[in-house]
Amino acid sequence: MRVDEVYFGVLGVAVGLMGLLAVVRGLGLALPNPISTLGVLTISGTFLLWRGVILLSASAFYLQGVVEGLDRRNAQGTVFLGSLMLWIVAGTDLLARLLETIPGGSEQWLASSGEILAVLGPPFSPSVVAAPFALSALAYWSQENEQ
Amino acid sequence: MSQSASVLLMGHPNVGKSALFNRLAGASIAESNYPGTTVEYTKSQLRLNNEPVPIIDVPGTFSLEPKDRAESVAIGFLESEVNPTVVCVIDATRIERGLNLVLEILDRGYEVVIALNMWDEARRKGVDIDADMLADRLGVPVVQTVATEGDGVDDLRSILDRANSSSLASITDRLPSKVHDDSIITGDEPAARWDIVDTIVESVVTYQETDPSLSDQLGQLTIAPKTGLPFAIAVLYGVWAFFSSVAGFFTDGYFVPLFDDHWLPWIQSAFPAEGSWLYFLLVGDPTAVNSFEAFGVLTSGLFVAVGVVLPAILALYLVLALLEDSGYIARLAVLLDAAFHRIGLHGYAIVPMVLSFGCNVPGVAATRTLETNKQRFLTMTLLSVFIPCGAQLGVMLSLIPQYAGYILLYLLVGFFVFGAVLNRIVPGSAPEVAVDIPPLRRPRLANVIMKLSVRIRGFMMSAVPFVLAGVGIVNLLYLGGAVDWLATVFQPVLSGWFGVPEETVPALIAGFMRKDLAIAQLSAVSMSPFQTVMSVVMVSIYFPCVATFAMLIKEGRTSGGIIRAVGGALATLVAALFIWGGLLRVIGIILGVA
Repeated sequence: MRVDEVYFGVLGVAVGLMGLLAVVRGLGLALPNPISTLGVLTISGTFLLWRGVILLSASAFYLQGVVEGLDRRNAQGTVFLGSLMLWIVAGTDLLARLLETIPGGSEQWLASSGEILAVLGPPFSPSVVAAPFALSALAYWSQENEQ
Repeated sequence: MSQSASVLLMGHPNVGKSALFNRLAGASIAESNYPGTTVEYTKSQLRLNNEPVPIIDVPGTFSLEPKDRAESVAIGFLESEVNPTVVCVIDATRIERGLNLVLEILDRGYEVVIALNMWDEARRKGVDIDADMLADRLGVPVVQTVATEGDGVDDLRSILDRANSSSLASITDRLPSKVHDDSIITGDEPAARWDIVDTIVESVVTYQETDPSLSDQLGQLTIAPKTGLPFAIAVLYGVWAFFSSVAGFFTDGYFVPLFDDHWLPWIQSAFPAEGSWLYFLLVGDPTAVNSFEAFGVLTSGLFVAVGVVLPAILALYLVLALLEDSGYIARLAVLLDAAFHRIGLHGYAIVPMVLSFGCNVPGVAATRTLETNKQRFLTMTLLSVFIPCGAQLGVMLSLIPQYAGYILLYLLVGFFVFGAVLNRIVPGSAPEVAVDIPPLRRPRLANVIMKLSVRIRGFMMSAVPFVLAGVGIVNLLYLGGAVDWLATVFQPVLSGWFGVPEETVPALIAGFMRKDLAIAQLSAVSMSPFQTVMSVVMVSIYFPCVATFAMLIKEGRTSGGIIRAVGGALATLVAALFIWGGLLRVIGIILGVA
């Protein structure tokens, strides 16, 4: 088994578990927010159900790519697509946090750099936690450019 | 080529004509990575040997037998221009189809130059075209171009005066094996023309085996339902999240405090003659504490136009431009094709629909690429009734963010339900079409910025005056007593059927001018949450804004007649208002919230 298959297999399972938690909480079922046990991870906020569905789909794409074999270009594409989905959710999540913080109100107009940096700290949503690990998929892109 | 003759850019849709036009003429018109960007012609000047020569970018056409209004425009230009030089723009990755159109144009005796565009993509895909031999075979100049990068544009400009005409018979004579030896080739024989194309392609193009790139794989995966639909959900989520974050950043972060804490108190105290009609008209309520409630031209009008709608439009147009240029819109069209077929349309109706989320006016104009009067009527009507524009969405997000998603969903369901009904009762055909799916491309920053600036400029020129005028007209009607009279007249319907208070009448009047303004005005009315949702849905579907209405009249002329198009649209909106609006109230009653 290739190293990248093990890597994306593990990532797929992890993203899937987080997606499942998000869907369950998004449906309003009484499941505790993991922030209480895992300080860096929070599963809360608006559109939780949709974000959970996207995470579950990304997870399925990772696992499908691993099952097909990541030596195949098509499977690499599937994994890359899953990563793109994670980046979309993570990117918009971070953007929302940043843009909510930057305006400091009519007296201040711009929040201090400390306040702005603070919102980039934990706890993070599942997509933000997973997004850096998904960057490995860029290797498939750079491999192609090298050829 | 005579110096005064015009240059026509012709070719299939989405082969880069608009990009080439921008490069040749130094103009700024929108380029997009999907067919049907150009539904109207664009004219500019090209400097050729220090002489100005008119250059015209016409809509894409597959042949000289028009299948829709946009194609008719293109062919109309070809036939009406005196001795034009025709630049046939061909997608070098799929040369054979473009060549068929070239032969048709040559067969009619026009002087032609060929631009083999997307040359870089052709090389990447292993398509190797011997351009010199192609020029020999056709007897017209051929130049390789990459319009988006500007490659080959100078070469193209330098050979425009060598444009040539060439008969099909002479082309046939130059081919290695003579096609249809005993027949006379004419443009009326499509099969014979295709034979010539095949022979030319065989002799000038070599195809090398290449592995599909990651980009090709992604392109395939985004149109396969199993992978494409989850990805579409992610993209649409991303669009909505980006839109609400950016619009909220400007509006809630800066414009609300700017207007509410500084501008409004200042103008309320500084403007003279409080209590006069002029004060009421321009400043509005002197005791209002926020800019939505004041309702003067210089308070609410300015705030809605600049503080709420402009940021929303900016965010939405930016993300739409990225989607358009990446080629993803065309993929959404494929994914939604089955759903659109149920309402008598096909997937490419997504293009006017997506444009309508920016503004209904270009959305209605984009229906020209649809094939039949029935399809155009259905799309125009459904867009103008059920699709909220970006400005309206922006105000909804600002005032009732918790309900905006549900309202949008309810309107989209209405779009398809009423589409299915109209498809059954409106006579006419809804043919299947085969369209190209463009490759996925990295959006060009310069084009995105240009497109954004053109659209924002258009918004500032057209929408802002309507918002300000809308506030002024409603205030004048207030002063004249017309609003109170209308409120009394419509009270039974508003309360009895829709369950909303009569105070919503001014918003309905403002909605004639701008829907965003109408929703802003609703915020000043004291209502329950359900009444707010109900009245926003009513304003959304009850009548298109005046600019959209004008476009309906314009497009209706060539889509079955004004009476049919506008009358049908009005009948639909009345039915939609009472049935779809009434149904929402029933749902509210069942849920115990109405």
